[in-house]
This record gives sequence, C-alpha cells and structure tokens, in this order.
Amino acid sequence: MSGRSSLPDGLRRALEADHRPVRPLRQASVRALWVALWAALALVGLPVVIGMRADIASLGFALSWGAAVFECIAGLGLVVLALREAVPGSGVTPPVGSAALAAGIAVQVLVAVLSWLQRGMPSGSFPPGGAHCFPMESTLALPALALTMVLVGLAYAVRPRWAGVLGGAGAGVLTDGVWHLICPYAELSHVLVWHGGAVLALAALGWIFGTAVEVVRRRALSSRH
Amino acid sequence: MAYQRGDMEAFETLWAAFRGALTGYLRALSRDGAVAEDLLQETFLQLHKVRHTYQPPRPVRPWVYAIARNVFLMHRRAAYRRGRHETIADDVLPEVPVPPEIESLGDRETVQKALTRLPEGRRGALVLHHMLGMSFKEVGAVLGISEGAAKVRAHRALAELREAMGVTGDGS
Repeated sequence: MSGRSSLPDGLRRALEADHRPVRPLRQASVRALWVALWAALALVGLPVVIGMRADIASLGFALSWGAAVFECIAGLGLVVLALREAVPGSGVTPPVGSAALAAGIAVQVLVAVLSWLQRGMPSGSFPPGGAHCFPMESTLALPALALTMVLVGLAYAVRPRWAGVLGGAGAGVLTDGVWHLICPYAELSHVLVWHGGAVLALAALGWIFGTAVEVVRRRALSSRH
Repeated sequence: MAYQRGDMEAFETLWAAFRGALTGYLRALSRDGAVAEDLLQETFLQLHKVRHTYQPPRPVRPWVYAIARNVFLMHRRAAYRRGRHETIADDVLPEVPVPPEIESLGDRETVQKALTRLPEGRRGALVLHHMLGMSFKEVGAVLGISEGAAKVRAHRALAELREAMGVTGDGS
C-alpha cells in the first residue's frame, strides 16, 4: 500500500494544514429542522405582528391554519430535497425533483382554489390587484431562503443550481403558507399571479445562488491550474 | 469513518484504494493523461475539504466518484471559458482505459478510438459500470440520475460502441 510519501506535495501540504476531526453531516431531514423552526416561529408570530387576514373566520380552521401548515410542510419537503441534493452521491434525480417542484406548486394552487371556492369570490381581474404582495412575500421568504442556502453551502452540491432551485422554491412555498394567513385578498387571480410569482422568484434566486457557487468553484479551480 | 476523526492514515488508505481506478475514470472523461493526473489531485483535495459530507454508513464509492465527476465538469467549463476546446486528433489519442468486456470487440486501438468519441454522459456510465464494476444504482448516484436511466445510458453506449466497430448484436 502506498504511504504518505506517495502523496503529491500539494495534497500533502493541504492535509498537514488541516487535519482536524470533522463531524459528518446529519441527514437532510435533521438539517432541515432549522428551517422548520423558522417556519414554526413565522407561522405563529408573523400573523400576530402583521395582522391576520380579515376573512379568516369564514375560511374555517382547515382552510386557514390547516392549509397554512400543509403548505409549510410541502415547502419543507422541497428544502429537504435541496439538502439531500447538496450531498455528493445522494442527489435527487431530475424526474423526482421535477415532480416534487410540481407538487409544491400544486399544493399552493390547491390551497388558493379551495380558499377561493370557500369564500365564493369572483375570480378577479387581470392584471390582479394587490401587487404589493409580491415584494412582501418575497421579502418575508428571505430568511428561509438564506437559511436553506447556508445549509446547502455547508455541504457540497455537485449540481448547485439544482439544489438552489429546490431550496428556493421550498422557501417560497413555505412562506406562502405563512402569507396565506395574512394576505387579505381572496381573488384567485391575485394568489396565482402574485403569490405564485413570489415562489418562482425565490426559485430563481436559488438558481442564481447556485450559479454563484459554481462560478466561485470554477475560478478557484482555474487559479490552481 | 476514521478519516473524518482526523486519522490521516485513513486518508492514505483512501488514496491507495481509489488512486488507480479514479485516474482511469478521469482519463476516460478528460481523454488526456496529464489532465487526468491534475484532476486526480484536485479530486482528493476536494474530498479532503468536504470530508464532512460523507455520511456513514452510505457507500463511499458514489460519494468519491460524484466529487471526481464534478471536478472534471468544473475543469471542462473553466477550459471552455478560456477558449480551450477539446479537439482530439486520431494520431494523438490518449491511453483511455478500456473495460475488459469491451476489449473483445476489436483491437485495443480501435476500441479506444470509438470509446473516446462517445458523449461524456454515456462514456461515464459505461466506464463506471463495465470497467469499475459499479451497480447501476451506484452509477445513478454518481451521475445524479435514476438507476433505470443509468442502465439505459450504459446500454446505449455499448450499442453505439458496437455500431462504431461494426459488431453485430450477437457479438460476431
């Protein structure tokens, strides 16, 4: 067997510079608990701080708190997939990831349609009113997005863009669950355009994060060779 | 894993265990012996940096090869950005490892030429399965695709290789 003497100089130097013990990454579902904690705090705290939607009573428990928790769980599922994708050799296959993304968006649409049917409101005009929901929901999602991207960054995603999109969409769907309890608009067009747009924007931010990670890695590699 | 606990002897064991096969894999991907040597060092450097991402008791091989493939892809993109496109002339074909099951299809040089001309995705799947003996599940884990997709890629690569060499379905 080759000994240390067979190691190339650069590699030996890197080993000697850093050979501290490391703790293996925990399972994706365990690491996602940080995001789950944020979601729980936001779910309980933000409707109190910003104010609950006025029609919450007419929605009933299932379509208000039940739907919000359901969306949060769907978003967390996407975050777990992003964190799994960030571990080399345990990535999420494109069909599974795409199906999960579609399911996350479907949950958002389902909650929007059921709430709209329950309220018996008109479907709304186009472009829908309440455009401020887009920046507000997107901003509200930034802590969840940042937390997810930090957790992705602490691992080593071999497809960082893919991990970024999954994590970004997850943070978006999760935050939409919280925003569902706050947003006063019940028109279907409003929810689909502005809330759905916020989820897409967050997925795009995740993609940009992944691209940045890739560029940094590529430059680091170029500088060494 | 002892290596994660700071035992550097374990790194040497990892180096000894994977060095040869990884060089072959990287040579098959890069089609350049010198580049493969550079990428081998870079792969072990990355393995060391991200050693915390190995999660026991998962198998080590998919983790190692997924990182190696990522290093190769980063290198290829960096080379593309610098305007260094891969062109391989027939008279300077590198020594690409040939899977034993494929060697029988024709003389070594012809097989190597056909192998280096396969698209990277299929070539990788073929090498991982037929040369390194990975299961399709492991190949899928390395390439980030499903077990079924890995099987399809490896089989298509083999079929393309046979076609390029004028070998019929029964291997004659």
